[in-house]
Order: sequence, then structure tokens, then C-alpha cells
Amino acid sequence: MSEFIVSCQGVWKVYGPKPERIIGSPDAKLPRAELLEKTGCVAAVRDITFDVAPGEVFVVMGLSGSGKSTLVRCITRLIEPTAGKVLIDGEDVVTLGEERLRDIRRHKVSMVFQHFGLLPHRRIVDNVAFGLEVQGLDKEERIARAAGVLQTVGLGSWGDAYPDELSGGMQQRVGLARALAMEPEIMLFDEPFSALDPLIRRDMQDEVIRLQKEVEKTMIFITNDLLEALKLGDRIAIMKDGAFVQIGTPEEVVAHPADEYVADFIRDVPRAHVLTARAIMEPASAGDGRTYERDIPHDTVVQDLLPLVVNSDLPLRVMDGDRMVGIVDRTAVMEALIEDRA
Amino acid sequence: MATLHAPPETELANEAIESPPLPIHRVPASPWRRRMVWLGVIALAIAIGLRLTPGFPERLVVDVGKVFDGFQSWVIDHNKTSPLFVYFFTPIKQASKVLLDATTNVVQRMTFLGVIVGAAALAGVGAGWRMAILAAVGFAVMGILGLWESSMETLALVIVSVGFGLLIGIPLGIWAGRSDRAEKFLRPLLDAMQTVPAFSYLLPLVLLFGIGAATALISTLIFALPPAVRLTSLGIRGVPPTALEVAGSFGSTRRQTLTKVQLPMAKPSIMLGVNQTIMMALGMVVIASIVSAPGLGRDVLDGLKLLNVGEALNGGIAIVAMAIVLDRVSFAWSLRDRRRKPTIDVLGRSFTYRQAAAVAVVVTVAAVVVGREVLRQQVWPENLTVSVADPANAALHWIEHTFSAVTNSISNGLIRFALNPLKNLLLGLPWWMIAGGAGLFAWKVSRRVSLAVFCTACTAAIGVLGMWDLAMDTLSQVLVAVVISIAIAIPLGVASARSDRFQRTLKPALDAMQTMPAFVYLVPVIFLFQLGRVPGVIASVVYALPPAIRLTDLGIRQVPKETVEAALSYGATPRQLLFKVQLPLARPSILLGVNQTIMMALSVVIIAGLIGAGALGFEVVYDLTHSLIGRGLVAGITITLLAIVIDRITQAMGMERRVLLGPVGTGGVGWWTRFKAIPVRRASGPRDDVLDG
Repeated sequence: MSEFIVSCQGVWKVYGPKPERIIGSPDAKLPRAELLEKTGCVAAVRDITFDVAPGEVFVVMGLSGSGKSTLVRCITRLIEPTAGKVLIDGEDVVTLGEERLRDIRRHKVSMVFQHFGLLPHRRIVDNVAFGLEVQGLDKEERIARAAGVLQTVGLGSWGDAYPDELSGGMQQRVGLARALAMEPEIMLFDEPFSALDPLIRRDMQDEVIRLQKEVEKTMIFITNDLLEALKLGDRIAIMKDGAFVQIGTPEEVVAHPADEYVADFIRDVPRAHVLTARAIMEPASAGDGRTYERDIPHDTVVQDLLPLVVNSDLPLRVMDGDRMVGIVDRTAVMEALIEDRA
Repeated sequence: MATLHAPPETELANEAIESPPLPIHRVPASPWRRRMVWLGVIALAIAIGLRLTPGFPERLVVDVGKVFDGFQSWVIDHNKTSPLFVYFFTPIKQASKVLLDATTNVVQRMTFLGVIVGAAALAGVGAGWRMAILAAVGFAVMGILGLWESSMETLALVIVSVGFGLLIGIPLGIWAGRSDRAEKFLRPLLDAMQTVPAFSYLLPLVLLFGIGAATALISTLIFALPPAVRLTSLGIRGVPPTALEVAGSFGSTRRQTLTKVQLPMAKPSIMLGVNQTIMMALGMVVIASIVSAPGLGRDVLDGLKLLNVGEALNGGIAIVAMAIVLDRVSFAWSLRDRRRKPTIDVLGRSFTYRQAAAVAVVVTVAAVVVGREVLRQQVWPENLTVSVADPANAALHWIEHTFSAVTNSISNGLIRFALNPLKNLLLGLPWWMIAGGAGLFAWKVSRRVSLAVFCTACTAAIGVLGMWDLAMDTLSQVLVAVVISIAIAIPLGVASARSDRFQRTLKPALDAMQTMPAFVYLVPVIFLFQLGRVPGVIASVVYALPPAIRLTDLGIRQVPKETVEAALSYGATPRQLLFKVQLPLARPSILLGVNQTIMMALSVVIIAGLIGAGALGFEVVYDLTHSLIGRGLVAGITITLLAIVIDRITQAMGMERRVLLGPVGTGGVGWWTRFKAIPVRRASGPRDDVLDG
């Protein structure tokens, strides 16, 4: 067993006539429009490689048409990838037979959909129990389990209702419950909250963070909302025209955008909320006899440093556990903020 | 305007050398001017054409009928020996007969009491107690009219053909719904089944299966199968892709996806298919009386033949009673939402479906036992019957005397100013001019040379078959009926779209009109207009009205609200809104209505052969009853050719209709006895329909 629970290696999805011929040929490097012009093919996902560790939240961020939804569907082969490997627990999904693939879909991975994907002809509890029903669980057990999960998402009393009687936010809680009921190791989220109002979206994001703490699932989360990505992701991948432009922690992406495209994206992000002391500090390993205002953990965000440097002329000592890693002073904080405005 | 966007002059100077000259936008000539030119050309062509040799020359006619007659004698000689008959046609024929006899037998042995109570109980469980009462009353009416036995024969035919129709149709629909290849394979077949008028395939079936039950059953099956297949497929294809993706992502097998997602979600559409299949079957079973199918159609037909209009009316009312019962009950059943309301209420008490079904079975069995053992009476007791025949005939005489001035003038006016001039025009032009005209028109509306050539060839083929004069006669009747029908339907449709109240007022009338089989329309019109072409045309007009009204209404109501708001916000008057926004956007829907109107008018004009409208319809009926298989087949083919040409041209006019009706469409042409459900529902959404249904 590998240390990664999900691992995509050189995954491609090309639509069009004879898509296999594109991969490995010089055409593969062409921009989308030229590729379409020349070959009649569209590369929705091009050469994507990434690994996700158990318990990690991996967010794929991109605008519509960037291929992110296609990519997440390649993981369980809802869309058949044209090339590449998708390892789940070290097993290459792409080469699996129908039976074994179904097994993985039934037990290991479950998905939350953008427009909820509830089945209108089933009660809420039957919607949640759908996956269990497909597994072949008998009625009593699956209803009991579904009712339990509904409780955890705060919809305990809605089991007998039908989807169209629920608000959008509640419907997506049902979608979440349906995925949780499977007790999967991996959860895939395909822009689950993009159809919701901002306030409800924030609630749902908090819900995911709470669940993540409680149940410790591995999550692959697709979104077109950068703030959502920064909020939820342990790591973020920025996707453009089917390829990853950058992979990194939220802080790395904000502090060191890989190119213009990413820089453009993060322009409006309030950096003070994302950048941590570590990103702006002047590295130093030992005290030089200076006095410090106080010690701060290295992952304190700039926003929280502000009051400290405003109230005191003394620098702050940045600590990683017991070890000193650097110094932050008023100038460093101010510079970070100025960059923010530029 | 252009200078506003012009780049600074220096750049302009540089670019002027390389950039290609700007395209010149010509203002297109006014469409009215073009139309006047076209009209002029057509008028000139007609003026010249009338001086040339009219009609289709004898020497080009090929006697195809002889070939068919030869085939008929081969069949007569070999139907006891040829393996094709011994192992295929004859067993089918015998099996249908056995099955039909058995069903009729069961229905008869249930006795009248058992059937009425059973029908009411079934309707009650499926569709509520109101429908139970409707069913009981409807069946009682058939008994009271003294037509119990015929009614039961018709019912048996409907039951067997609907049973087969669904048994074949739903699986085919599932197949077509899940496989594009199957859909591609089935679509032209279904199109053909719906384009070819019923009269055309009665004859070949008679040739293969003889006159009687088997032919009636199979022709009904052909007629009633398409809606079952189409609406099942439509329902399955209407399941949103996300639902399928969800099923797949949770590891459903194909079978699980079908049974847990696709079929339940397609159920409303499938149930609608059941309703349509039942109504189509009833419509055809009645027509099949021409090939000696037993039942109510026979009563009407006999009445018409013997000019005993009262007798025909008697049968007609019984058919309408059965149509209303079957339609309303199955429609209410299809709308019934069991998941929302898991109980049925009777007199304030709630019962589960299981309880209700048990009660229904017990009550039915009890009624059968009472009928058999206590009353000892299979058919409706004769002393409880009231025939409307005599009073109706009396009324007929009164009407003839009272209204003859009005009806005669309408009649004469139609003949003198519409039917005869048009017929004379069509017969006065040389055949090649009409065939070429059909081709030219087809090209103009479709811009497809292949379609133009096809239409010309089909029209010419009518002449080659030796049916030119009859076909032109039929065509003239169809055109007159269509023009009148559309002239009434479009204003009504517009009015209905603009006033909810008017729509509500119109609805019951349209529903009623679409419930009745075409055949029945012939009865009241001969009351007023006696026999001949005029009653045929009038029946066609009435029969063809509802779809055109509904589709006009639908088209206008489907115009997006934002578009209407935009027009109003720029200060459009209601009139401008109608002519500049709503009607242009409703065009595809209206043209589909026109297509439907034409095809329905054609079907009735042909059936009107039974009441002396002459032309192709009479030819078929006459040949059928006189066993002139060859000639009858040729007439049938001619009707088919005519239908295909008209259908393809009008379909090309409203090309966008596939968009309107979803992936499968409703098919070639609906020979729907009614068109009610699909498009109208789309407009108002399922909820509204539940409320006002």
C-alpha cells in the first residue's frame, strides 16, 4: 500500500475523433483552440498528476470549462480517461473490470454533486439510503443507517419529505448525507455549493470542515471559488485549460503565484487572511540578544499580527513549536499589507 | 456611426492598405415584394397551365392493381399450402381469434353487472371515486342504448390490442430510450406507422389474414403501438443525466439504474403512453369495423350504410361514452401521485391501496356472482333500454326542415365557391405542373434538393398508379378543410393564449373533441348536411381544430417572459407584441399545428368516403367491401403517397419542432386521435396539470 490514498498519474481526457493519437504526439502541447482546429479534438484534461494523502483535503480550483469536473469524474471513471493511471489505495482504477470498479464505487469513494442530484421520486431517507440499497443492504438496516446520517447533517426530522419540499441548502445536506452514508474512505465534491446563496454556502463550508474533523475523510473538492478553496483546502491545485498551473498550500499559492494567471486570480484575495508569519518573516534560528514583544506560532495569519505590531515597536519571535524560526517586525507586516493593495 | 469606432487616423492609413474591403451589407428586398413576385409567377404559371393538356395521360398509367390481383390469387391458391401461411400468418390469425374470443367470453360471462361494478372498482382504485362513478355511468349508458353486446365486443378488442400494444411497446420504448442505435432503428418505422393512414394498411392485412378478428387486431396494434414506444422512450430519455450519473457513481448496475431511477422517473410519461395507446386503439377498433371487426363500429357503419342516421347516432353515443370513460380514467390514473398521497379516501375514510384493491376484487366477484346466479342475465336487460334512434330520426327530419335553408346555403357555397373551383383547377392543370409545383414548394421550404425530387416523384407516382383524378379530388377536399380549420384555429389559439379565462372555457370543449374517434364525427355532420363532400369537409374541420388551437396557444405562451417584458419595456402595444414578438417566436409550434391539422384533415376526408365524399376514401371502402384487392391496394398506396408528400413538406416548414418536443419528438405526424397531453403539459408544468386535471 502506498502512502497516498489517491494518486493520478498523467491523466488525459481528450474528446473527438481518435483521441488516443493526440497523447504523446507534438499536438498534445498545442493550445486548445489550435488543437481543435488541427485535429478536431478537445483536450478537457491534459496530463494531470497529483497525489492525495489520507485525511487530506485537496481542492481543485478553476473557472468553468477548465476541465475540473471532468477530472473528478475520471477518478471513478464516470468519465473514461483517455490515458493515465488513477490509483486508489494503490489499485489502478483505469484497468479494473466492471465488477471491481462497481465495488470501489459502492464502498470506497462517494460523490456529492453540483446540482445535488437527488432523485425526485424518492423520499429524503430513501435518497440517503440509495447507495446502501444499491449495495444490497436490506430495507430495515439501510433506513436505520440513513436516518442516523440525516441526524448528523441536521435533517433528522425530514426523512419522510420529498426533495422538492426542501430548500437548496437542505437538499445539498441530503446530498452530503447520501455520500456519508456509504462510509467511504474518499469523498469527491463537484462544485457542491456553487448553486447556493453566499450565506448558506458559508454554513455548508463550515459543515464540511466540521465533518472533516469528526470523520477524517479524504476529500477531493472541486470549486470555482478561490476563497472556498483557500478556506477548505490543505492543498490547492489551480487548473486552466485542462492542465494544472500550480499545486501548493493556500499560503504558497497566495505568496508565490506561479504565473500571471494565478496572480490575476489571487489579486482580490485579502492576503492578510492567508499569509502567515512564516511567509513574511525574516528567517533566524537563534536569538541575537534582542528583546521581543512576544512569541507567536509560525502559522499565525498576518491579520492577527497587526494589533501586536501596532501596539509595540518591538519585533515578534516566530516559533515552530519550541524552536525559533524567524523574526517579524512592523515593517514586514506593513510590506505584506502594501503588497496586498497592489 | 462607423466614425465613432474608427481608430486614429494614422493607424487607419497604415491599415487601409492591408485590410480587406468592408463587406457591403445590402438591405434585403422587402419580403412582401418578394412574395408578390412569387404570387405573380404562380398566377402566370396557372394561366398557362390551364391551356395545356390537363390531368395525367392514360398511356403513362401502369396497372399495378393487376400485380396485386395476381398476388391475391396466389394467396388464395396457396394459403393452405405455402409454409409462409401455414407456419406464420395462419397461426397468428388463429391465435388472435382464440385470444379475442376468450376475452370476449370472459367479459360476457362476467355479466353486465360484473362488468359495470368491476370497471367502477378498477377506476376507483386507480383514479379515485369520481372516476368510479364516471365508469359506472359510462358503461350503463352503453347498456341503456341497447348496445351492451357490441360494446363488450369493442371492449374486448381494445383490451387485447392494448395488452399486446403495451407488452410490445413498453419494452421497445425502454430499448429505444437507452440505446441511440435502437432509437435510430425504430424511429423511421414509427414514423411510417404514424404517417400511413389506417385505411391503407387494412387491405394488405386483409390479404394476409382475411377479413375478421385478426386483421382488426393487427391493424389496431400497428395504429396504437407508436405512442407506447415513443412516450416510454421520451420518458426514459427525459431522466436528467445527473440522476444517471448519481446512480453510476454509487455503483448501480445497469439493471438497478433502470429499475430504481429510469423507470420510476419515466413513469408519468409511460402512463401517458398507456392513455394514448388506449385511445388510439379505440379509434382504430371502430374503423376496423370496415373489415368486419365486431362491435360498436359496426353499428355506426350499418347505420350510415342504411342511411339510418338515428341508428348511427345510437352507436356513436356509445362509442363516445366508452371513449370518455377510458380516457378520463386512464388519464386520471396517469396523473395520480401515489407517493404524495398513499391512501385513497372514500366518504371521508382513508384506505391503503392494498385494502382498496382487496375491496375492489371482493365487490367485483360478488357482482359477478349476483349477475350469474341471481339475475341470470349476461347482457343489459332489454326492458331497461332506450334507443335514441327513433327520436333522433324524428329530430333529423325536423332539423332538415327547419335549418335546410341555412345548411343548404353553406353546403352550396362550399361546393360552388371552394370545392368545385379547387377541384377543377387541380384537374385542369397538367400533371407535371402539379408534381413540379410540389417539388418546388418542398425545395422552397426546405432548401433540400433531395426532398424536392422525392416529393415530385411521389406525386408523379400517383398518376402512374392511375389514381390522379381521385387523388386531386381528395386533395381539394383536404385543402379546403385545412384552410377553414386554420382560419378558425389560429385566432382562437391567439385568444386562448392571451386570456386564461378563455383558455379555461375552451379546455373542456377541446378535451371532448380530442377524445372522440374520428369516425364518430361523421354522424352529427350528416344530420346537418346529409351525404356528400360537404359533411366530410366539415367533419375534418372540426376534427382537426384542437391541435392547431392548442399548439398556437402553446407557442405563444412559451415565448419567454423576459422577451415579452423586454418588448413591453420598450413600449410595444399589445398588437405589436403579438405580431412582432409572440407570433414570430411561436412559428415552429404553429407550423407543427398546421402539420397536424393537415394530417388529421386528410384522415377524416378519407374516412368520409363512407358518407359519400367520394374520392380515394370511397375507392378503398368500395374495394374492401367488393373484394377488389388490387384496386383497393393501389388506392391505399395513393393515400399513403399523398400523406407522405403533404407531411414531409409541412414538416420541413416547421423544422424546429424536434426541439420543441424533445429528442424523440412525437414522431412523423401524429395520427393522434388527440394531441392533448405532451406539449400542453410542458407549457404549464406538471403541477398545474395536476391541479386542473
